[in-house]
Amino acid sequence: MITTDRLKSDIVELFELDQNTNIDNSEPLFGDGLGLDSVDAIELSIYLDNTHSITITNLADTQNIFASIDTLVEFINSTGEKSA
Amino acid sequence: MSRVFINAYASHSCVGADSELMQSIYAKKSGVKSDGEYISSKSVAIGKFNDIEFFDALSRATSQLLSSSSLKSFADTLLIVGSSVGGMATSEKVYFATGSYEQIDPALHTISVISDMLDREFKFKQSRSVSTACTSSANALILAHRLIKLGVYRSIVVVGADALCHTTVCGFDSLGVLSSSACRPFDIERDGMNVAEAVAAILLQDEMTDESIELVGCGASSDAFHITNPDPEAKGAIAAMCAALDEAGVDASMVDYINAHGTGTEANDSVEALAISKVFDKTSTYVSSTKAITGHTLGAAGALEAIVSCEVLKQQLIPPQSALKTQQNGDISLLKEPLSSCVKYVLSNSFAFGGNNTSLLFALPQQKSAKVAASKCKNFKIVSSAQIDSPLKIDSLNEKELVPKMMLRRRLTRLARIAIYLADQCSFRDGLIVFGSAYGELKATADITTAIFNKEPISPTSFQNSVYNTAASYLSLLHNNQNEIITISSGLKTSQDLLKTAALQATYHNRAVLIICAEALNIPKIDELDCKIDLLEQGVAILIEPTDDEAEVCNKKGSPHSPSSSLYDMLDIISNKKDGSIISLEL
Repeated sequence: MITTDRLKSDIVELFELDQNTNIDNSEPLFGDGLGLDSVDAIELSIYLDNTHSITITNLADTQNIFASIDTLVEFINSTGEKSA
Repeated sequence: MSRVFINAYASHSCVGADSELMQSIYAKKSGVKSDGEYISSKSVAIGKFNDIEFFDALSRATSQLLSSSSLKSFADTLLIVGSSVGGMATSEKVYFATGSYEQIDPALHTISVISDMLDREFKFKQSRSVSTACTSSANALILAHRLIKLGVYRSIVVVGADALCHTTVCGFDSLGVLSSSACRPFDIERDGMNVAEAVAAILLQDEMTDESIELVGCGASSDAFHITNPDPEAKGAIAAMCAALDEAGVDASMVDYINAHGTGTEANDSVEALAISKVFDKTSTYVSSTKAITGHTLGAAGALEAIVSCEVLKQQLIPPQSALKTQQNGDISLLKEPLSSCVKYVLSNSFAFGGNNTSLLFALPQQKSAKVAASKCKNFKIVSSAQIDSPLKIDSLNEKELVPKMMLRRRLTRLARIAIYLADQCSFRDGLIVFGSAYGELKATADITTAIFNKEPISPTSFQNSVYNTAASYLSLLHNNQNEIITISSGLKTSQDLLKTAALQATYHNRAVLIICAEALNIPKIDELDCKIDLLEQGVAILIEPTDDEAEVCNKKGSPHSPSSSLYDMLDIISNKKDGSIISLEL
């Protein structure tokens, strides 16, 4: 299980954001929201594999999963140790 | 201005040597094959030499070039090499065998290992090396064009050369863009690109022969959009193509064929097709990407595809788009079979990481040529200059002030931080940049090789940051600066060659140029590395502008010296000349 706060702090570290960056739980992580890009999407999939043993086989299918902190927390906690 | 003619060329790629290149292209016979050497976990297709080692191919192609030219030697010829990885494959072999950086020889690692080898064997008058990733040899051709046009040199050899290595194959894999079969540019079923190796050697001269093809126009630009993703509006690609047409005074409707960058990735092909459709009419201009045959030869691609462009003009035969079944980008004209046609003008595109765009326009020469002879030295005013000489100072920079946007600031490399600080000290925001570094962003390079060695996933951020022109590209992103950027990497004479390149760019464009030379050898296990490279983290910048005023003394005339550091020549200038001084620089 991962908490929302833990995921936020992992994301701040992973993407080298400023320590005090405030990410809204429902804010889009990509595009016009926080502003992550396609390279970050790959970094995020590596993080899921390394930290949560979740393998993403097709990045194109991750649009809904990577949408926001809320969707990502739900995905990690519902997928657990299984592969996506 | 002198006209610029391509009078000889030679190549080696995965389809073989010299004439095998066009035979394969017209026969739609790809040299790209499935391979398990670089990535064991899955099948990827790459373009590998069949029968020859990389450095032997380099020597053979250059020797073939000399024998097919009218020259007896290269004694009066300048060599400009374009390469994205230089001696990376050699360093990888050592590192993977020992698990340590200790045995790596810096002189065999750098980009300039290629020019060093060719210079030893063929004795060129001078040499320099350009490293702007996949536009490296296209930019080398642009510099050669300008040097001959201005009458500085009469004869220049451009060599595009990149060997296959784990860093590029695994690096592109980390971006998820490698195909398991030969790439299918512009096809609805395309699934990525192929990394490939090649050597392409081209002789450019100011004299026309019966066999000459003329290089009539060159364009370059920066996207200032993203380090790896092309600008979806294609503004940079359009600007580069239009600049090449403008220089030649040629209307877009006169271009019969475009050899596209066409890597076979969704991102490149859709943006390039958009750019081409905005400038050219599909009823008069055919397009194809020959990377379906040769693979993407990275730093060699510009020169290799320049040879293809010359051959299309000579054979009057437009290449088909190999592997095309169903075209996705309907706004450009692709052929499924070769087309015999009257071909007068051919454009060749190369685009690179950092949003570095180049377009070269080739033509069948019309009338006899005129030549000019120009002074090799020009005068420039030092507008401003800056220096940073300690890692501590770089650590203490107020980055939030320099780079307010967090999403840009977070990924800055060490070299980019130095470049941004120095540009700020020189009050530079917008304009031409020439950047130089002998070793590039070693931390990113080391992160990749270490990950490969440990069988860990490669960070795509490290891969995009490992490219030599990334630092200057971050600087252009910061200020939305869409002007040309050239990155030079000539080993210990990097700043010497930077000054010459800056003098050329400033003279050619009649504009100010910011020159930055920097090194950032802050790799994590620095004590393993310091046995061979002097510990160094510093940078120097000089903003120059052309002037008609007299210089006090001509700088560095006479025989080239052997500098002790890659920054030496620029540090020498700023320690002896104040801002406002007039200096004379060789082009």
